[in-house]
Amino acid sequence: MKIKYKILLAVLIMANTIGCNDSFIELTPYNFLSSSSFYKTKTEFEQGVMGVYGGLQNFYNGVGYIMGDLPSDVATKQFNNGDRGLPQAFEEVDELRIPSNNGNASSAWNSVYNGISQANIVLEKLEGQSILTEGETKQYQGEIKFIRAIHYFNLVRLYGDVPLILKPVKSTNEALSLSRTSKTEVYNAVIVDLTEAIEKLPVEYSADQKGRATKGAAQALLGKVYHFLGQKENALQQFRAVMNSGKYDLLPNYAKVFDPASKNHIESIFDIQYVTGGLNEGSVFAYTLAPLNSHSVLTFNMGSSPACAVMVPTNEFMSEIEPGDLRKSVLFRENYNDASGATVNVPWIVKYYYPGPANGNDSHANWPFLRYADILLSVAEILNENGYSASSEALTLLNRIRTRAGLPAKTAVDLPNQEAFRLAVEKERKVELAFEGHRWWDLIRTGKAVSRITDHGKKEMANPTTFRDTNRFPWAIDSYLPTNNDLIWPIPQGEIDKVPGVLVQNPGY
Amino acid sequence: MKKNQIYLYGEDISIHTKKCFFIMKLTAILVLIGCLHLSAKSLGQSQRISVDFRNSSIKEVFNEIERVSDYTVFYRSEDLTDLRKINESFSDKPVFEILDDVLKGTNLSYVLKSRVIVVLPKDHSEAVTQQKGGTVTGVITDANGNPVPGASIVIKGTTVGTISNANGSYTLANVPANATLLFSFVGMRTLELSVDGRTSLSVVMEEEAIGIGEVVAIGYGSLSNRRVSSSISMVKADQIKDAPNPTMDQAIIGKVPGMQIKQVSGQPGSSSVIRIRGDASISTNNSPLYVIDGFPVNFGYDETRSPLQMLNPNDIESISILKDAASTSIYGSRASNGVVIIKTKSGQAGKSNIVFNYNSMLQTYHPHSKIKVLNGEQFAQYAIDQIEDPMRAKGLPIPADKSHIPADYRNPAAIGEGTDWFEEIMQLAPAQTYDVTFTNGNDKSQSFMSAGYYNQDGVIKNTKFERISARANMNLQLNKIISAGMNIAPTYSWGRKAPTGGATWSAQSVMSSVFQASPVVSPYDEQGNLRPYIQSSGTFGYPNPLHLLENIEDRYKKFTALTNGFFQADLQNGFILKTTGNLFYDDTKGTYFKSSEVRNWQGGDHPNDAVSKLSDQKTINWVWENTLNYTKTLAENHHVDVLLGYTAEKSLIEYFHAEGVKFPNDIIRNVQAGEIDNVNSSKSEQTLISYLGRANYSYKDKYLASATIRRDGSSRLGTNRKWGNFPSASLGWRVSSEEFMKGIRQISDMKLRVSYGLTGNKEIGDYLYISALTRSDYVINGQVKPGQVVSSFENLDLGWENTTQFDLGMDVSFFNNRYSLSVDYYQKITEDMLLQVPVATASGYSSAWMNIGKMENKGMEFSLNAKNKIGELSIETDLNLYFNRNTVLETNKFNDPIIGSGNWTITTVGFPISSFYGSISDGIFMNQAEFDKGPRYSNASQEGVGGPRYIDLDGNGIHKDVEDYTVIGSPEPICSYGLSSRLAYKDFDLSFVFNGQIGGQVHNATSQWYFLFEGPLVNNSVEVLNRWRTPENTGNGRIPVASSASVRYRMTNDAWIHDNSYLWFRNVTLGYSLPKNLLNKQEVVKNARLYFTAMNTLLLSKNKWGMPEASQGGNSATNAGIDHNSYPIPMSFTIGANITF
Repeated sequence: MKIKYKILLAVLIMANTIGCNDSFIELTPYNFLSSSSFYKTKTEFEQGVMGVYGGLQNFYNGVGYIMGDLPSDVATKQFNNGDRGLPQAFEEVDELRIPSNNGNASSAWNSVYNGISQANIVLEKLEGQSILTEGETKQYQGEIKFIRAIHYFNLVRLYGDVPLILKPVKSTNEALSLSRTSKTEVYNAVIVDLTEAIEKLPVEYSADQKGRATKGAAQALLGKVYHFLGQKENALQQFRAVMNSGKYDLLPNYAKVFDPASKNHIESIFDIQYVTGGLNEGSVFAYTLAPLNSHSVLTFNMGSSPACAVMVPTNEFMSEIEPGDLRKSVLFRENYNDASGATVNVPWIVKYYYPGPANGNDSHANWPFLRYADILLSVAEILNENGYSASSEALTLLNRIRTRAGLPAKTAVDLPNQEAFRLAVEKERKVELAFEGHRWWDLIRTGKAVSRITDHGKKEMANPTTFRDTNRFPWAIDSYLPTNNDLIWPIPQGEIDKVPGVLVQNPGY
Repeated sequence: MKKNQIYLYGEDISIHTKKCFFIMKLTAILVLIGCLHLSAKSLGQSQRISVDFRNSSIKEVFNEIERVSDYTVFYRSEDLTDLRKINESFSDKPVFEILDDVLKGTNLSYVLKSRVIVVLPKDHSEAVTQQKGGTVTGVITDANGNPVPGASIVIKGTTVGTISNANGSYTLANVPANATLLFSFVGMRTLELSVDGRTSLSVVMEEEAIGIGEVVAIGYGSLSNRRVSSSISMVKADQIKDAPNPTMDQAIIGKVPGMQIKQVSGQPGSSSVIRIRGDASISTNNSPLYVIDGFPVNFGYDETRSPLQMLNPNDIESISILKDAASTSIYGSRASNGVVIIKTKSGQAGKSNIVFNYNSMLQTYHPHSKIKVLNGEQFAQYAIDQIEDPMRAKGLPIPADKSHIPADYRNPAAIGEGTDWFEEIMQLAPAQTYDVTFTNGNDKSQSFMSAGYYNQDGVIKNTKFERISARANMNLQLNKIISAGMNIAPTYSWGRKAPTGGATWSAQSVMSSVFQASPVVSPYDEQGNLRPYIQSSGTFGYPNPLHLLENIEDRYKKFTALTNGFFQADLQNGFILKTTGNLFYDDTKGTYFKSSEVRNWQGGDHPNDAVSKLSDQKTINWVWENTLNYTKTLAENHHVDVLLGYTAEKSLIEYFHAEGVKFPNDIIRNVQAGEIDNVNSSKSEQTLISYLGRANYSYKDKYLASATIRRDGSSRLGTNRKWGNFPSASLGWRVSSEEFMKGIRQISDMKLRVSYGLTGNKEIGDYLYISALTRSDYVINGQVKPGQVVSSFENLDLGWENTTQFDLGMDVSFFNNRYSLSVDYYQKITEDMLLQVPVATASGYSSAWMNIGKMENKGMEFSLNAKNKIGELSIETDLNLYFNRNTVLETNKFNDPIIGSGNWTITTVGFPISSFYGSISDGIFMNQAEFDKGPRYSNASQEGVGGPRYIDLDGNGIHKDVEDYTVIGSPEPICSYGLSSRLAYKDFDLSFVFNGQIGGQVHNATSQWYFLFEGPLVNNSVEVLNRWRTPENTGNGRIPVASSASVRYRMTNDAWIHDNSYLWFRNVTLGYSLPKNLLNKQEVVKNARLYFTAMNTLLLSKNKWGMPEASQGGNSATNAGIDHNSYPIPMSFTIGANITF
């Protein structure tokens, strides 16, 4: 009998060794890290912050690089007579007839909110931790708030009222009840974030940290936000701070501004950073801005699919380039030679085209998000708005940009009044900052978008920049006929469908 | 029937008993045909019954005793003539007292042992007639020295024998000196002794734990069928042994009500899709849990390599299908799809056998798999019409010189049949089975061993499956307390798959190109070499399917080993402690090579880079189980059976995959010969801890009650909800044991059952509640800096998917168990489903795993068994009917529909899961006037006169895809049925199985995708001959014009949804056993049977083409019922032999 109880006891003891221990069913994944066990060291926080920066890369490789130019008058979609699938989403943006299921509308929404979510998560993890020094914590907080401000500034300009989420969403219930916040509140949040970023960010970094957000970047962006909102004095104050910091200046040569060989130079205030090398860190612009079937002009491999010419310069824009403008060859070419050597008359943007990378969509060009020339022209514009003066600082600033481009300086004779100066600055911004994501927002800011695009559309439809078989593919009834409703994008239909009754669509969609 | 006669006293005397089913069992034991390994206890001699006789004959008395008790009475009819009528009442008397009473004054006596009563003339022992030859006498006693009356003593290899008298003594005349005697008795271990010239042979027989009543395997044990109060179906080896089946699932098709087994693909070695009582879940695995010899195996589903393939069907002793919550909830969190308990054979004491099975099979594609397409001549004419119809419409002259027609179509008649691509890739495919089993045992150890080799070619050329399997099952009784056992079953299988399935127009699916490729091109070029590419003028170019089969090598090798060992201590007084260790190991390796010669569609000129792939997946799964069982009968009538258990398990899956590209040539095909590309690996674990308990109680086997509970803790679920409790309860009432039922003689047994319980499901991926980080780097100063981002939602509250089930059932037997009927009604509600639901992307995530959603399955099951004898012909028939209604009750917070892939199915509130989704067709636009009326589509190039017209559901005048879609059918039938029958006549046996369904639809997506009208020519089904051509020549009014105006005919609409009612003969087997007297002349072969089987033959279907059970979505619950380019199901013809040595 005794042996039986010994057996029973032995089994019970063995059972206990596993049974009473919940750790047997608490498993740590092998294939990935879990967020709950991360953010415990300085290295992990640094990786978290890099992840937040990475969100900018995703957005500017996706919709970010087209949203400021494609809807405007400087760029159009090369019409693809052979493929009527995917290209249509870009035509709709170009012609300002965006349906609520437009792929760019949802792609922008998704990648921006993904970036915001990462920012919120790391910000929360930074709170109350004692792993980092106070200085490190401040810098990370500043960087993340700067990036979150970029995201919200993009969102509110694209969609108007949007859900304002400043803390990580933790419950599924919350994730199903995020409704829109008024754009005033969103802009306020952007201003708060940037104000804090200015306070927390360093003026500059050591050489090996070039490319991170600086105080000047936050000031420049805050200036641009104020400027966009029409708060000229506030804007000017920030721009002046940038100018007075002594950290920024124009490069002597316009072409060098975009050259990947000399990134993060004195004119660059904040670039979205990319690098080639098959590391999934390259930019796509060189690839997606090349004309259809232009394999032959590019020295790098285009893979099996043709380039897609998402944006090409419009006829109207090209015709406005002044003779002798050194920027012209940096901006675009009017044709290319195909494999047989024949000339194909499709203009294309070369601003980001730098041969070298093995693959077209793994390019080394950065996205110039904040550039000193933009600040100078903005200041010139504000000064002129504050009061025209024949021999002003405004004129000096304008001419600094013009002379670098090899163009004659404007004089008071050329620009005799405030309106003439206003148009000159607008024109200069249009060319100097072309294909850098500014023109559309300038049109919105100055209230000219509807009239300008309607006018531009007439010209474009009468004389299309690229070949379009209009018999087979006639212009849509609402091509280039924007109303005020078309100045903001629709909330992606998929998002509205996910949470019926929670998200309300913009008027007109 | 021969088996129902035994020879008493050496004379040919029929034994009469009302329990004919029982006697089959009994005689089966008597003549040493195997019996189940059971654990029910003998009732002993003390069963008390209440009976009331009014002018009853002795025969009627015996019948009544049989009805109300567990006893079976044996007697000779002629002994019962001229006996008095009985007028007596007995209340709660032991059976022997009643017998003493009624036989008083007759010359009859009886022996009562275990559950058998043998009625004999008192003088029978003296009545033995003198026989020539040696006479053997002896006494049979049990282990306690008590005589064993009624035991059978048979001369081995003959049917000559006798039975022992009341004193346990016997006399058997005419026994050859070298004969072997078999001593057998119900509930005792059969003995086999050589006479060796002796004239006296006394034996001691030992009790064996074998009962007479059916015993059913339940979770962690077994239970007498009489005491079962839940819904369990059982298939025994006997029911499947006659027909050769490569896999267990095919063997039980049509045999179990409530269980659907769908052969979705004919690829050799492929899996069936199996459902028990409908789909209980939307997103998780809906396959049942398999428990093999007590081992719950995490099989999952593998479309081309069925995990069930590792089981040799000849090794299976019984299959129990647990359906209601009361029977399944002991498996807790894995039980909501039902449980299939498979028991393999074991050795038996006193029995040693060698059985050899061989069969040879020939398979051919089932004619229904072949969609009839245009032949060469028809296709050429079709191509000509495509050119000339528009010319005629415009009034253009048709040039007489035919210069407008491409040369290859100019003379259709000369082309004739052309190439039938389907036939080209098909072959008459052989298969062979070799199988040997060894059974041996004594009272201390029993063993069963088997080895098998199976080899099957597919009906598509260059496809194949082979399997080598072995098994050793061993049981040891070490001493009175300790016993131990081990089962080891390694299986190695390998095969080659055809590139089938996938979307139409996919470059490398042969089933896509066989229907669409141009029939005017021959497979071989002028030099007799295979053309890599098929294209005639204006057609869509396809890679030659024959060339694909040669140049794509998709192979796998799979090694699986299933091992379990147990160690058991009988602690006496009803306590049994058992610990079991189980180990499952599986290693599946895949190799794939696509040679550079393989072309893409529309890519004839461009050979591709060769691609080689290598993958390897290892699964290691161990389960450790400990149970304590207590069985006791208290105060004679109260039977208690209590089980407590604790189990722990872990499973680990490691996966590796590598691809090689840019091979310098096609000769060396290993991955490393090319440039290594796309290497990945993963490793994932899950663990489960469980506590379980069960109590069964029965009072006089009349009132039954059972309760179970399992508590499971799983690594897969969120920290806050790792643990779940799964209770159940059931009650049973044997109405037939009640007083008021005894007058109803037609009903031999009747039981009512009711059960309710909760089961769970957690078959989602590992670690899904954890919020994962993924790499998202950034660039600082030109250098890549590693970054991490949170990529999935953390849900610490992610818990069990819960299914509650109510079951109400009844089992009735009529006419002395000749007919038995089971009826079950059930309602199964799944809640808190594990669903990945879309969430607002503004949260940072596009979806999150949640417990949400609700679905109901309710239905009825009927199964009827009938056993009939007409002279020497015996017929046993099983019929089952099964009705299930699935209704989705909730999908998420907003009840958004879940749309299946390709917008083909919809899972939405109020409809069955995976309903078909599409437009409602409204004929075609016969003329301009009809076309002008609309409704129209927004794209002018995709509509026109002669094109299809659809109902504009939202009434806005525009018919749009998806917007004007609705539910247009469902794969769920009104009713499924199965009928199987086994007939035996003398040495012949015949069995057949057919199954089918009434109602339900199939989406015939294969033919849908032929209607390619907007671009290049493709071949089409012959239906296109009836198309609309002009307003005057409108064809049959259903097939639209062959132009781009009909592009949208290909969009999903109800033209592709067909009634899927069918009846299918799955198996017809005719067997012949060599006569015993022929075999008796030699001593080697004990039994030999030859048979012929036809499988999957006659199919009566309302659907013209396509297989009723095919499903592109495989096991996916939300993509069911779509027949799309699937591997044709073969039909087969087999001859074979079973020989027992």
